[in-house]
Amino acid sequence: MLLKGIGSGVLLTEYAVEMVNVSYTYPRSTRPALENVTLRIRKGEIVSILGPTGSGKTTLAYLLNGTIPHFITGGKLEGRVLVNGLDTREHSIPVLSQNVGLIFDEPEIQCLGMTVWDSIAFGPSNLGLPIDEILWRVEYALKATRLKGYEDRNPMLLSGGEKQSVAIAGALAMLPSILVFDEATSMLDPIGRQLIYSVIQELNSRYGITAILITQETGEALSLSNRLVVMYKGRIIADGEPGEVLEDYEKIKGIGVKIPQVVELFYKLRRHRLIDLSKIPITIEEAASILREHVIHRRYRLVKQTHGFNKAMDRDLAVYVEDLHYIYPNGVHALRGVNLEIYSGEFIGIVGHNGSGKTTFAKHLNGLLKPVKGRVLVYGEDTRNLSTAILSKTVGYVYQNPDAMLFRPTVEEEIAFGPRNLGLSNREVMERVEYVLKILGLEEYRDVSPGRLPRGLKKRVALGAVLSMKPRILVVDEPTAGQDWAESVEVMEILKMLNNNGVTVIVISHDIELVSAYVNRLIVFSSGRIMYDGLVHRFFTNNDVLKRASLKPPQVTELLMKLLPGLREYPITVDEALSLIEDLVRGDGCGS
Amino acid sequence: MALEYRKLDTIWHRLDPRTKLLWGLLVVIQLAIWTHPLWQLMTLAIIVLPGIVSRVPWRYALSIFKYIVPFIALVVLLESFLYNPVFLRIENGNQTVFELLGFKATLGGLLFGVNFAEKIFFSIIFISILTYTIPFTDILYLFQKIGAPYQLTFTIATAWRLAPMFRRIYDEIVDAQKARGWNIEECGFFEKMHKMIPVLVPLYNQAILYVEKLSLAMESRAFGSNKKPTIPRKYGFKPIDYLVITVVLALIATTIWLTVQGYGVL
Repeated sequence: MLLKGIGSGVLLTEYAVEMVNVSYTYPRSTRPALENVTLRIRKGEIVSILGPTGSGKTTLAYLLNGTIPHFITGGKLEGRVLVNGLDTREHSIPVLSQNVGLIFDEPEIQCLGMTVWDSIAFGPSNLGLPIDEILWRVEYALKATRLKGYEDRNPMLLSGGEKQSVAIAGALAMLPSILVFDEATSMLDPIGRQLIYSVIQELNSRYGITAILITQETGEALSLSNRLVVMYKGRIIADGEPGEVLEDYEKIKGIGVKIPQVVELFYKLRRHRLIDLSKIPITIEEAASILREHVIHRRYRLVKQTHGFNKAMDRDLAVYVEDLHYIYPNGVHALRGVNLEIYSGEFIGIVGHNGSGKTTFAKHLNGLLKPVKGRVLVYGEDTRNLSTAILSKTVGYVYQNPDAMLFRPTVEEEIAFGPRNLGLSNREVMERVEYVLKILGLEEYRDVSPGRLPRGLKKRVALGAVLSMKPRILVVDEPTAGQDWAESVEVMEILKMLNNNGVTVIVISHDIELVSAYVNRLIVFSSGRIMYDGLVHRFFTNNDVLKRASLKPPQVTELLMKLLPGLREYPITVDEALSLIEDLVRGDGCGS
Repeated sequence: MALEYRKLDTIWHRLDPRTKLLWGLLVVIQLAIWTHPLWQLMTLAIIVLPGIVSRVPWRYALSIFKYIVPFIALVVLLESFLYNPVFLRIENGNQTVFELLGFKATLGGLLFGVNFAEKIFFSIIFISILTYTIPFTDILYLFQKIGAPYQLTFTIATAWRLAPMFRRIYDEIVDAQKARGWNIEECGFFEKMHKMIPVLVPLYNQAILYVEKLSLAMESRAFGSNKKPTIPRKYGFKPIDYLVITVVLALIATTIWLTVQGYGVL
């Protein structure tokens, strides 16, 4: 069903988007952000656009809604951009916004009213439409984004996914026929992401909206998309049906794009001649059906146990947490009796949905928060008796957003800031700086302003700024947020290296797939309590805990859970899954 | 959250916001011109009645009192000793009511101080009831309706909306720097100012980024494209509004008449 009025000023054209030989160079830049891009998107398509940081994806989005050239002015634009047949150069943003809605990564900024209703009505009100028209549009947007009942709520008090739904509804009330989602789910937890993807699917199937998904989360996005475009260095390097495009696995992975685990698994199964397929599946359902047909042809029993994890009882007790409770001044009871022991040298992942208590817990480790009840001991010292400044010598805390801590004019000075606060001699400070610059590969950037660095490097500087304090315990909050796949892997590899050098690493993350591949112990928080503490591979055997923690397992884990229910452990990575399937195919570990 | 609009279906909630604002005008007039603590209790009754009807959560609405009571008590005490009763019309304003360390507290000073405290406390209750029962947006829309520039009302709404967000960013930056050993707790004033740089620089950078994105979001929703944006509300008086308006107008007239006659004033 396509609603009457959607896409005001739509011209009769089969394409929602038509970009012909488009190049764009930002003001004060010498290198084009987009180079000779030609892209045609038919009405009603769902297109995923993938590419590493700096590949031109956001520039493309800005060209579609007229931000370039009407809002970001002074750049050099060549070629032609048409949306619903309208030339974006010749039409203003208000006109274009009735054809293309842009939703980006910060939902709070896009909620432009004090209530959900007012946020949605903001655009139509600005157009000066009659009040009955506004009422109708808001009603449509509320319904399409499943926000009925939220009308009078303050958007700032909603969950991340709900806030982003309000942002989508605000764009929808302009009645565009095209929605562009620029990393719109990157700040959301798995529940929020799931909500947004289901809303997108419904908008497409029910209202005929053309959706363009610019994202790093390939698994969920690709399962919705009927087309995949891959960008690299301002150019489109692949465009087609997702399965076909991903056939070129090596090339796509080589540029730093995350390949969905299922695709990678089947690519490797085919390469190892374990399966003969002409087309690689994209969704877990497709993959499960193929594997059922080709591999899982008889009853199985527990596959060999390959993973071992023992609490390193012989090591030092780094953190001891006893009956920890914390209540925020607004009355939110964020931690409700947490008990935990962390030993030196562990690599721990802490996961849980937003508001589960994981960050509140982590802030107790360096004394930013003090227990309301219970106690936290760090190497035997009660954190209640120590200031954060003192604890920062032992516990390093790297924040999610590097921009929240970087302020010095050069990378070198930024890294020296922490050690100087510790009152170390200049010689000692410089020795530490040199060490950190070296291990993080930042030597060539020592004199560069951190603010001018790309996101991935900024994250490394933020990590270095904490590492230079030589903490024995390193807490890293959302190391992969705002990073592309290659950058995320790079950060995790650095953490692994630090852990190998004896640092106790605690990673707080939503990205259970990436974190699980590195850590040897997983702690799952939900409603201020620990729901699970143990082996990563065993966590996914408990459907009840998974459901209550609102976590989504990695794709290969989910696939094998469907195929082989009841295992004591499940693979997390593609290589583990490959090895398990290999055993099944060859008959090892399977029996009747 | 305190001072957050609560949607309920009560007679008071069903009134047109303009009616409620007229009630607000009555309260403001009484708070401004009455200075006698006993007369001011009538203002309290006029404030509290809609609060009871609209089922205001008193515990939350009055929670701010605990922070200001010590300050207000101190002001009342000081006024008792320091206020000069010659400015008052009451005859026994100079009468000493108690003595402390040789200082005399006068009746006039005490009454003036108590009225000051009443004005503060009653204003807080009044603002709480107003914000619990009229959406802030409606107040802004009404100002817009009577001619306030749209840009101004939108700026106020945005500042109100984003203030908690910037507060959160500020806290995050402070925490991030504390985790790097930054500490200003034992610094003097000027050193503190200098040591705030690690917080102020990232805060400024973040604010710039947010403002850029905010402008983009506003532009994408056609902000500024029409000189006269629609106020997306259908306002209308119902019979109950006319009844309340009549009562409120009568009370305003009575208040002014009584004050002119010398009632309600110390």
